[in-house]
Amino acid sequence: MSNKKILVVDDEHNIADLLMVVLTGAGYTVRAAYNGVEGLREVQSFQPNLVILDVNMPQLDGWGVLSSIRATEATRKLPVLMCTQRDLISDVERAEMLGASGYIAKPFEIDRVLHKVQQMLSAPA
Amino acid sequence: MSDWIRRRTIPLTEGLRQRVAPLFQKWAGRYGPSLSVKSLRVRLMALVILSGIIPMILTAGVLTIISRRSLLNISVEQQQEVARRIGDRIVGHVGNVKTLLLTIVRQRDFIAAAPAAQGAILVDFMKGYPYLMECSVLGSDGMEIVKIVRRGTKLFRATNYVNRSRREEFRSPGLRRMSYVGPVFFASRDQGPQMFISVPSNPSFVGDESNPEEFLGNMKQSSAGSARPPRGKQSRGAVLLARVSLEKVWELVDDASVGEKGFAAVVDPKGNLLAHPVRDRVFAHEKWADRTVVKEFLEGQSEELGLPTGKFHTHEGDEGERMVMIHHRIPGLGWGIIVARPLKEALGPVRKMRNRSVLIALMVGGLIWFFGASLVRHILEPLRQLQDGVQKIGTGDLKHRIVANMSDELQTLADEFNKMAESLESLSMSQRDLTHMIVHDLKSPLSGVLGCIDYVSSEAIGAVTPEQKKMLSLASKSGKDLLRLIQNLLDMAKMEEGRLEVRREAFSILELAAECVDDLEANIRREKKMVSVEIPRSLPTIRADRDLIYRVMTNLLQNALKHTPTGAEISLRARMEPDSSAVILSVWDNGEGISKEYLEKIFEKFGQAEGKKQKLRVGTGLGLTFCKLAVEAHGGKIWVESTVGKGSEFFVRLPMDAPVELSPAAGLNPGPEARGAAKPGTVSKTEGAYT
Repeated sequence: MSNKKILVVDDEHNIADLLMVVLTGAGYTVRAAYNGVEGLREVQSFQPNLVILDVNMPQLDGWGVLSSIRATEATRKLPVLMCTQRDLISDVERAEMLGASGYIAKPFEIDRVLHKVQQMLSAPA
Repeated sequence: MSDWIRRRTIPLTEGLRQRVAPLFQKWAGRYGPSLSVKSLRVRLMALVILSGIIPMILTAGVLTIISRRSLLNISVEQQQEVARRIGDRIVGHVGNVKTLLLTIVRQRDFIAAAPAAQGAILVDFMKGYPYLMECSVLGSDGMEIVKIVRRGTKLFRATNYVNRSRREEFRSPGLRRMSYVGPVFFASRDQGPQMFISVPSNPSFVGDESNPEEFLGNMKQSSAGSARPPRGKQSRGAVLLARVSLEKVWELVDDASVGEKGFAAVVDPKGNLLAHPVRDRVFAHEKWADRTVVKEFLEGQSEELGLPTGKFHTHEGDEGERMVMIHHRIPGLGWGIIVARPLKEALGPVRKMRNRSVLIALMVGGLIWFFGASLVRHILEPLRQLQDGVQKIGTGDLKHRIVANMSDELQTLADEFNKMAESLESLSMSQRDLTHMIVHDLKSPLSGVLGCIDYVSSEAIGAVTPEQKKMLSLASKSGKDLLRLIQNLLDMAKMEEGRLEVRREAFSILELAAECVDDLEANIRREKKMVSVEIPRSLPTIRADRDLIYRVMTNLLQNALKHTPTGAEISLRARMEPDSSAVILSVWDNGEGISKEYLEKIFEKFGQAEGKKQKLRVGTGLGLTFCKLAVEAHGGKIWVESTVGKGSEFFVRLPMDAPVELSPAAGLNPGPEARGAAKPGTVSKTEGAYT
């Protein structure tokens, strides 16, 4: 894979680590941020091609980060993968409404994550 | 109509209430807070008492008014009866005198007798009748011929003959041959009232001269002489004249019994007092003409004669007390009889009745109070028990049942409450059981997972690459985190029931803190935060449940990590309380802070500090609740001090406890020697390294 950059934003260190290992193993360059504010900062400095964003985070949650990303001109079209709660339809709807490029429910299977990431990165801009 | 009533009475009752209520409050205040004007008890009692007393008072009032009237009427009737009787007797007395005189005059040979002989006869008669003050025989020319006078107790033959030819006392019998009864006069200062009665020696009437109607002619001072003597042989005869005292009348007045303090008096047609129980007043020639009752009498003289006026008035008597006074005209004589009676006496029975009914009302009131109070208590007691019981259930004591012997409606209510409590209790019990079941069921598969991972990691079944090791380690960590969460849940449930055993062992806080920080080292590093431990080496060891306190500390540290921005500072602190009774741990950070309204809420179950923009969130919301329960299970306290924008500090106070349960994990002997056995390194700092 061309060296695509992925930013993982999740306050759960274990999940962030897991994703990092898996995605790095798949050939991407990965960074992690552990809260929303830090995540936004990394979007600016790391300039990833894809953001995997968890919903439940302290200080600034996933929705806030998403809205912020979408509000900024530079990142309006940045692909964002939301990690939503499995059974919460409202989460799904919200993800769509706020402009997430896709969503995946927690707990997720690694295969699906990789698949989705690939899909989103190869999608036309 | 009701509107009109309301408009009138509302201001009245309001004013009354405004004046009475504060007084009542003051009085009631002394008897405790339960006696407020609004209290049901007071209202019921008031209702009961009033409903008993008011009818009584009304009835008594009505009866009083009725009997007052009738008593007055009765008294007036009685008084009039007395007056009539006196009147009749006076009339009779005057008639007797006339008859007496006639008898004397008609005696054979009286008129023809010589004056000396006449005198003797007169003396005989006068001896027997003390009210004859003077008797004289008048000749046909009106001159007195014989005169006997009473002075003191002696009778004297007087010689101061008076020419009465022009006087009515002669002319009436002398010229018109009609008996004469003169008006009352006062002869001299010291003598009482007297009157002249004269009879002709040859009366023209054959009829009964004591008949009042026949007096009519005599009493009317007919200048024209409307009373015509009968036709017939006109003869000028002699006249027998007597000056009569009113002794007899006085006796009658004295004898009159008008109740206890009543009296009778007699006045002449001009209002002069003729007779009175107090003789002196008569001698004083009192003029009663200006007394109201006499005035009425005088005014009423032109009314029909012979009929008593029947009216009565209450006047102020001589001593200032109100008297019931009636007047009665003696027909013929024209005198007025006044019969007076003190009003109080007349209404005596009423007052007695009123006093008696007041007494009865009080007694009945007392009885009603007594029975009413017990009735009210009977009603309110179950109500209060109900209130208590419901309160107990409401504040969480679901095992409490309302037990009371009540009647009907209240019992039904109580039963319903008990049923509700039962279902609440079983609900919460099943909730608890559920939690237990779930937790245990959760732990089993998890143990399986962790076990497998550990086994593979240990390379017991083959070599493991570093990458693989890394993944296995991640898996294990996640699993252990989950296990910890489950364990927290389980312990919380136990703590709520009070079933958790706090296993105390002696350990060093500094050591524990260092361990916490170590375990979270990776996280700290990644989040680029600076964690320091500021715990003095001299801090004594504490006896507590090490595992629980470790979890509490970890929880607080994790919260601090989560709720601070990158690069923030966090510090674990501990110190002794000044009086050495407890240790105070704290986790300080310079993060965002927590707003005031959430400072207590965050410790509640699922209580989270959630602003409108969801800026603050504390995981599942159970972490701090767990901390609170764990700390309180040690008899300690947990709280937070925070300023928005500056930071927060979570405090945990753990009392130094005396008794120590020996737990198998403890290898240390508790005791003073344990103090000061601190680990090296007062302050350790762990800085986050930058990736």
